[in-house]
Parts: sequence; structure tokens; C-alpha cells
Amino acid sequence: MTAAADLVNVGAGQVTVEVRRPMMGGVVSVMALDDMDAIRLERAALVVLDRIEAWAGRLTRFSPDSELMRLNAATASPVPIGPTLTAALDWARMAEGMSDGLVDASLLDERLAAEAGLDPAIPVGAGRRWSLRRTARGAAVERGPGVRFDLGGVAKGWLTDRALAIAPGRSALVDGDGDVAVRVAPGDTWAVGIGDPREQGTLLGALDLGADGDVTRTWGIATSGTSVHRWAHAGGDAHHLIDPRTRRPVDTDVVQATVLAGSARVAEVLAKTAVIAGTDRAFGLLDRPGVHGALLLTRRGEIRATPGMVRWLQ
Amino acid sequence: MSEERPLRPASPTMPSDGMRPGAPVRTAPPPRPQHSKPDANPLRLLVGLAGIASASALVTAMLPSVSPAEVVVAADTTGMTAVVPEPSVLHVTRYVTLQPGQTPPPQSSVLVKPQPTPHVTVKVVKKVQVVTRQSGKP
Repeated sequence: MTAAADLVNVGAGQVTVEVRRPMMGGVVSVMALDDMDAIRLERAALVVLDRIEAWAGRLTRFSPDSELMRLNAATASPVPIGPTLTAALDWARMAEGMSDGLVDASLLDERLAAEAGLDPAIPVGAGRRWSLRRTARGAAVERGPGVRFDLGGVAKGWLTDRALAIAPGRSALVDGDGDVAVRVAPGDTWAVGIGDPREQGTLLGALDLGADGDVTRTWGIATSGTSVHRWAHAGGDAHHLIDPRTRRPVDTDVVQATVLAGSARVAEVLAKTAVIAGTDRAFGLLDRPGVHGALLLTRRGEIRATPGMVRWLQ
Repeated sequence: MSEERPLRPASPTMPSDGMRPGAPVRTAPPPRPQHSKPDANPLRLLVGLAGIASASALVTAMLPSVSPAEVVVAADTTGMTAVVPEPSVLHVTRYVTLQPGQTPPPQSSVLVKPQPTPHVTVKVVKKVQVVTRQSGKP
């Protein structure tokens, strides 16, 4: 286990701790702000990193021993699963409904085909039914033939929220490799930048996230797009966002979408939804309770934002 | 030698010309004043022109008529089709969109196209604690 830690004095008696660790294909960090002893705060933050690593280990598709990949390899149906995978799949089912079906966690083979530059083996229109059935000892997955799961960003947003719930400090921030969950106590502020994919190290905007008057508040902000996870094949470029309607990498005019919501998991799902939907449909899908703002970067270089996001950017 | 006889006095009832008596006496008409005849050439010219005009009118009437083009207007809500003559159109160029590098014609007024209002004007110079971005390494 490796971790990097920063201690920053931010005021009289206050300390901010940040711990980082490579995982989930990137870097995950936990920041905490409080009046408590800095060493205790750091230890508590490291425990959070350990928990994130454990959860991610059950949900990753990059390890054949993960619970997710054991499910994918199983030939029988139903397949009993543990509580972490049950909760993640439960959320994946909700995400599918929230996105009008555009975010689908059962597209592993399509994703692998896109990475290899191949056409998906399963034809468009074939049924991909799966469901969770509660059992006395947890839950079981029932699914049609050929259904394999890739939780990807859906699990990342869900993990980030789960980590924030156990993060120490009166104010805390969990950065799940780009998906951010924030807890802000009255008087504190977290400044969150929105990365510009066109030039590394630059920002499209910045948000000052504070409390709701005298009440501690949680925020979620996530970004999705097609400009980072890309592969060049003989037939052209491909990326990782699969359109369930075509089962191929989506052809969209949205290069990147950032959503500010009350939780990281909702922000992550809706950011991905906006990219897959395209600008014509995205703002209609984002106009819903719980979404505080969205910022889209289009293929033509336009930056389009909801009125709510403009307020936060200023 | 013949003796010249005096002529009988003229009787009021006996005309001296031997006409029977009682008949009205015809008197010689008074000499008419000598009138000059009008020149017929202008009238001939007028009649000639009128003839030419009449012939032209007849020929024009005999030619196939050229009716104005008909424009069928889209049917209205009642389903009726209105036919109206095609209006004569006078094309007048009033506006020209200048391309980059072009100059306006002399004495023309130039309207400057307003710039579109940007959706967001963002200039980020502040320090942030964390950045949301697409996952993975670019």
C-alpha cells in the first residue's frame, strides 16, 4: 500500500490533510479539514483510502478474481453476489432509468470490442435482460445469455459517495479519479476546477462549493467525455463511451460534460448521459431536481452551460 | 332692203320668248361665286392612316393571344385554389454581405453585424484544490 499525504495549515487551529493513492486506473485522493490533530486526521483519511481500494477490488473488471469478474465468468443463473456488488448493481439499475437507458452497465463485450477495433459480437436489438433478486443471504443476479457487466464510471461515482460518508473532518473531499464528492461545513469552501481537455493543466471553470447557510452540505461533481479514453484502429478512432442503441462508441458532438449535483454518483451518470445524448437532448435530460448545473464542451469548441452552472462559476 | 321692224313691246303676259302666257317666268340664275376646290391630299392621307390602323388592329386580333402566366397559390384552409397573375418583379439589390477583405460600395451605408452573446465567459485564474476531469490518463 502506497500513499502520499499533504498537510496544509489553513488557519488558526485548522488543518487540511490530503492523502493520495493510485487505484481504479488513475489516482484517488481524500482531503479532510478539521481542528483535530493532523496525525489523527491523516490516519483516518488513510483508512478511507483502504476502504475505497477494497470496494474497487470487488467491482473492477481488470482483475479476474474480482467479484464482478466471477459473476461475468459464471455460466449458471442466478448467481449469488455479496453486498457491495449488490449495492453497485442496484445503483447501476437506477442509473439506467435515470439516463433513459443511455447508461448501461451490461455492455462489457461491446466495450472490449471497441478497444479491439471490432464490431460487437451481439447484434443490435438482441435482448439483454438482467435483474437482482433478493435472497435470504443477500442477492442473486438473474440474466439472459451473454450478459456481462462493466460497472466502470458508475461504480466510481458510487464508491466516491460511499467514501465521503466515512471520510473524517468537518469538511471533506474525495476525488475518485475525476469524480468528486464534497462535504462542506459552514464557513468552509472547497474550490473545484473543471479540467479543459484541450490543454492539460488548464481549466474551463471553477466552482466555489460552500455550505447551505448554517447547515453542512454535500456536493457531487463529475466529468465524462470522449477525448481521453481513445484508441486508434485501422477503421478509425474509437473511445470508451458505448451507445447502447448501436452498441458502438457513440457519435456525439459533446466532447466533455461536467455535472454538479448533490452526489457524485448522480453527477457521474448524468455527465455520461449528456455526452451520449448530445447537445440537442442533453439539456432536457439534465433539467431535473438534484442537478445544480452542467457545463458542456462541444466538438466545435463551444462551452455551453445551464443557468445554474453559470451562477456557480461566477 | 329690209326694214327693221320694231320689236313688239314686251307684254307682261306674253313672254317674249314665245312661251305660253301664264307660265312663270324663268329668270336666269344669278351667277354663282367661283369657289376654290379643297385640297384632297390631307384627307387621303388621313383615310390611309386610318386604314393602316384598322388593318393593324385586325391582324393583332387574329394573332394568338399571349395570356399572362398564371401562378397557382397554395390552397387555403378551405381547399380552394387561388389563381393570381404573376406580378412583375423588379429586382433591386439593397443589401450585400461583405466577405472578409471586401470594402463596401461608395456612398453605401454599412451595418455592423452584432457579435453573438457567448453562453459563458470564463476566465479561470484562481487556485483550486481539486479538478474534476475525464478519468484516466490523457
